[in-house]
Amino acid sequence: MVIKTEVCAFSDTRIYPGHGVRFIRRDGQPITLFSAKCKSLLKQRKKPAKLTWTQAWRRLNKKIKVEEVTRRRTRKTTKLNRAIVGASLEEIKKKRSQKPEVRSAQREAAAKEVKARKAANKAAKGSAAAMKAKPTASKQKGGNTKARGGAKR
Amino acid sequence: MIRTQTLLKVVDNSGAKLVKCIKVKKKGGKMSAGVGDIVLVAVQTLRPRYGRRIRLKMNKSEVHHGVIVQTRRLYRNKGGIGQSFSSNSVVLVTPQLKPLGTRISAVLPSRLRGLKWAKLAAMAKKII
Repeated sequence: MVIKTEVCAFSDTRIYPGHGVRFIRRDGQPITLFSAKCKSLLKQRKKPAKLTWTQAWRRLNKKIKVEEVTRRRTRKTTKLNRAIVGASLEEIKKKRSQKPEVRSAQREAAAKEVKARKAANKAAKGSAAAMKAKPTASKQKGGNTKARGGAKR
Repeated sequence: MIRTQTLLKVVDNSGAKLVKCIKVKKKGGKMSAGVGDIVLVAVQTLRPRYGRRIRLKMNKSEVHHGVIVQTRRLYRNKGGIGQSFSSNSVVLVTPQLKPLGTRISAVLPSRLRGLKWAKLAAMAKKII
């Protein structure tokens, strides 16, 4: 059977049933005290950290082992490489291991290529339109380009 | 340990602030009263009203009944921790033992419930 004990607010001693005083302060806060000695010293406004026989002093002067409250470790999310559609694991790894400069260069090259392709397409279309309506081609073209820009955004 | 001439704080909103015990109402000619006992009190000072227009329930030098709810004397029961408060205080009641105030702004001991004052305990801010 475990006996329910309380802890003295001044000296940190355990208080067994039938002992101790619970003093209720003016603001309604109860203070449990072990003995009349503790009560007297508390009323004199003594600091327990300055009296050698209290646990507070012993803790301050490193006479007892202080159990540090270990913080719970938060789980960190670990990154894991997995194969995605269209790119196997090895491919991703290969790309990762490349230097960033090389990669950026590659990307630029790819972008340029796409641009060139688009430009070529445009040119082809433009020529087709020009063929259809020759005299007002320049005006129409201007209007067309503006409209396209709006749609893109 | 409340006797005649003891000054008591009033912890309800009946209007009185400080009262003096003028009689301990106990059978057998007992002199001192503890928590849960009824005393006759004379009102010494009133609670300030701060300009609010409240009908005065209370006047100075009136006599009322009161129930003692907190005492400075240590109360110790076997198998527990003793209990003592920082002041002697009282709640005012009518002669029919109904509370005069509507709320109690103090921490009351739980043993008031066992002493047939469950109504006061229910009104308390907190019970220990």
